Amino acid sequence: MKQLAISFAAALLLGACAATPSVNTPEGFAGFPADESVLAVSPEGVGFEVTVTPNEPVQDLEFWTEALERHMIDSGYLLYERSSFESRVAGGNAFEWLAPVGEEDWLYLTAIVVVDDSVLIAEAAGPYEFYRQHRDAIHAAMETMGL
Amino acid sequence: MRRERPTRGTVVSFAAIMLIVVASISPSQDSLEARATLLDLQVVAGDPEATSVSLAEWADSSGGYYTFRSAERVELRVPPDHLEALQPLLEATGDEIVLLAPATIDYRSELRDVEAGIVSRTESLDRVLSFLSSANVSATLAFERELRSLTQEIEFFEGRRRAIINDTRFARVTVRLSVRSRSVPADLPSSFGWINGLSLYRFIDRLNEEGRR
Repeated sequence: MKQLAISFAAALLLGACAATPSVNTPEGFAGFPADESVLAVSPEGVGFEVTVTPNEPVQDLEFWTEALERHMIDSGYLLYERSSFESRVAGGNAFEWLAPVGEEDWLYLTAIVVVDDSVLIAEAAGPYEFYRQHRDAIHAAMETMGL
Repeated sequence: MRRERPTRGTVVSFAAIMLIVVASISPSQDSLEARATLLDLQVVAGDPEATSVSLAEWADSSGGYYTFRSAERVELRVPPDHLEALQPLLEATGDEIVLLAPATIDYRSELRDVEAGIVSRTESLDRVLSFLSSANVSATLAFERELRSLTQEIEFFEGRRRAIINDTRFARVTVRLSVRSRSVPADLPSSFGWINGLSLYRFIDRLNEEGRR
């Protein structure tokens, strides 16, 4: 009985922790070991990272998409493109934003997938020209996101 | 108020006007391509006002025109075969096209419906006009109402037809202009913790930190 209680407590603890994300490294990128995330960088410095966070408060994709879009627009990002995609585990929504970094225009991707008690978050960014070169690879990788 | 009875002369004049209206709006038999081109561009410009002016001038010189112009947005109507010149024009001024989204609308089905509407109502109009000369006063008033109604419908369809033809002859181009040196997005607090963590600048810092490890 004691063993059962310990197993149950361990299961609860595991459930409370955010799961580890998984995703294919975008073509042309090198993967880097990172804590609790999957990180990859292209030779030109375009970055791609997938993290996972608890779905708290528990909400659906539509809610988080609207909250994210409103926050980014209110913060001053210029919406470049909005798209939807199918990941390994569920459907997701992605936004690509334009913002200045020094004298350059950068594209910044924020994408989310909601899976039960977790939200998978993909971010990618790079100078406009370099990001555009890797955009298809980044979107293809997003379709492999999972837990 | 005394209402004047329509005389036979009034009826004939009214009928003649109706015939002229119908003749002027009868559908042509031209075969139309009936596809409209739309082009949406987002441009980061060093001087949006100057770009806006040069786009309007370009539309004029290309045989088109502009319907709206400001330092934030320009709406142009230009012949579709001139669109290829737009990209080099913008790039020559040092502006950067960050979004170029072309689209096409196929109006063939709607155009067929519109032309069928014009034909059927024109035939109805002809029938009413043929009855008009032999109608008594009360029937003449009823015919007049019917004639007005048919004429309005024909004018509506003809207006739609003209709009479609115009859309096929002139591509609709919308250019949104933003300033290159716009301000850096701010870190606004969100009610949701993980959304606060999403920031381009924080992401760049994280990439740099990982690179240093």
